[in-house]
Amino acid sequence: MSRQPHLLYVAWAFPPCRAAGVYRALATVNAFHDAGWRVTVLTTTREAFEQYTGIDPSLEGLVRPGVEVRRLPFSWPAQDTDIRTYGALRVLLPPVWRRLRLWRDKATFPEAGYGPWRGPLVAAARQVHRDGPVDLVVATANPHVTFEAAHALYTDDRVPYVLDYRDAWALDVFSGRRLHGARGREARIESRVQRDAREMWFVNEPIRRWHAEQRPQLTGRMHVVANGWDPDVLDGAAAPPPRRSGTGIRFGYLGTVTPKVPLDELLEGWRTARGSGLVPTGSTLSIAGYLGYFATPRPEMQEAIARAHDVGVRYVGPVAKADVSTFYAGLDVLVLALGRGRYVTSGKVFEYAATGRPVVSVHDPGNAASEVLRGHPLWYPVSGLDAAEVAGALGAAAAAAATRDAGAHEAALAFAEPLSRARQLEPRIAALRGALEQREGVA
Amino acid sequence: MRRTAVLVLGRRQPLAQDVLEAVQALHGAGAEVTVVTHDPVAVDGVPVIVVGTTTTAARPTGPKAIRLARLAWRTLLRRTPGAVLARAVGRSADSRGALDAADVVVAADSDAIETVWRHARRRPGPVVVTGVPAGVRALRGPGTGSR
Repeated sequence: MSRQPHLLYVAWAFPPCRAAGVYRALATVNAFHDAGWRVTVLTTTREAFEQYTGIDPSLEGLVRPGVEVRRLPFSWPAQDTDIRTYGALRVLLPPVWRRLRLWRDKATFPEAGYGPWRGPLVAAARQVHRDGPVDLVVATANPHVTFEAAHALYTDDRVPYVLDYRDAWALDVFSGRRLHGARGREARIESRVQRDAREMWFVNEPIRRWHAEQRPQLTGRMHVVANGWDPDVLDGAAAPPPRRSGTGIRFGYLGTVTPKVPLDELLEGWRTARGSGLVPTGSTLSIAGYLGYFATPRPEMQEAIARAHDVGVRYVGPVAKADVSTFYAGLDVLVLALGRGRYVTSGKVFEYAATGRPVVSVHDPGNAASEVLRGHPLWYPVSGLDAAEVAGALGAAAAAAATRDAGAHEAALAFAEPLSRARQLEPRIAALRGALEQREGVA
Repeated sequence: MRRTAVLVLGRRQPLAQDVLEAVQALHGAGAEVTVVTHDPVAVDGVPVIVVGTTTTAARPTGPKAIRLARLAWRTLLRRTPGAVLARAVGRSADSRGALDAADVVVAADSDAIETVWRHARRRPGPVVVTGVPAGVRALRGPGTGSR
């Protein structure tokens, strides 16, 4: 291919958005840029992120210079915090308002909150293509409305596209059940966009396999592109924790505490571990990240953490991406608390592994994150989520942290090496470039 | 000059620790904070205006249809927690005074929204939001307090 290939990357969440999915988007865009592509990103405005998800301004500096970011207005009435915009129906009959709002959201595209974005997004994608021909579109979901922009360019001009599933549309990754009927509106749209996709990316093998079982004829286009860890984010976190004078061990959790995270089980296990002496006196558990998906913290989570204050649990709030390394460096043991489900991985599991520190897994053993950590020399999983089991794992990790075995630390770092983000993305980018060159050659 | 914020609590029997955290967040954004609540809550060093004490509301029980019917009935008679609080605040001169003097009014939870919404219809000046993070953003942002 003689000219620089042009990638259009479509994502609702992009820096400075602080949502968990933004790190994959950032890494993908930077990886394509580093591989020599011209990259244009379609996303929404800074104001929308400020209002609805919260922002991490440090992320903006991580986008490679030269990447063009086009921001489209986005409004999300259900999450609007300005009470002056509320009508009487919303205030006086909230359930009725919510029903009507949902119906309006789904009128153009069946996705609550995001459906109305379909029109502006498709129009903007066409504008990008007019301004400079696009060679490939990567659309990341959720929200799945981004797939529509990719499919529009395919329909108009046969521009190939990749569907990047950070989660799944039809599959509830926690329960393993279908989220909507096989012949429903969502299923019909997904069938159409999958049929025409050049590739589909999934974050782990169980999710890829599930989709392959649904559409065996498309299996060859389905690939696992795991999340991986980013070296520029973890700079300094891989050093062994500094020796301290006290006896306490510093445990920490970093990540969005979603309602699926077994927070109560973790806190119960922690209390048991502290009470029984499995974890030394003076040990602390720092919980960092947002409480819930949105900018407003969930009160029941705040309450649960506040109740455990007497046993050394504290909530430190969100940690900017630029400060993640410092946060890890101040801990002895990392706690990976995840929702139940064999399809559930996380981005954090890769980061945790890359610190070389002991990792306590407080999640269902059948969770896909277990596959990532299997073989890690300092991994302490639980076989169930009862307090005694969690306490036992916390105690074992505390004992490992206390011994400060340099050999085990080095082995843990070596284990994490193949899990870097670059190692996940490079093969797919190379394959897509190869396919484009072949297409040009044929043309 | 420090700005003033009123935090309206709609929730029955609020936890002092939660209220303290919310007040500290608003205070950290540069506001003198007053709390308006239906049920008493003890927060040191913060003016708290109590507009009435409720008996503990019974948790809704029974089949879904019955619960929905009860909700519809309460809504019709304006006996939802939000409506009860809005009426109580309307009757309280102290709380009306605090709201009128505020640059930012924050509904701490969904049951406080009606109270704040009614105040917004009466007074066009202050910023009125739901959720403490939105209140903090409003206090830190430009153009707050154009009363």
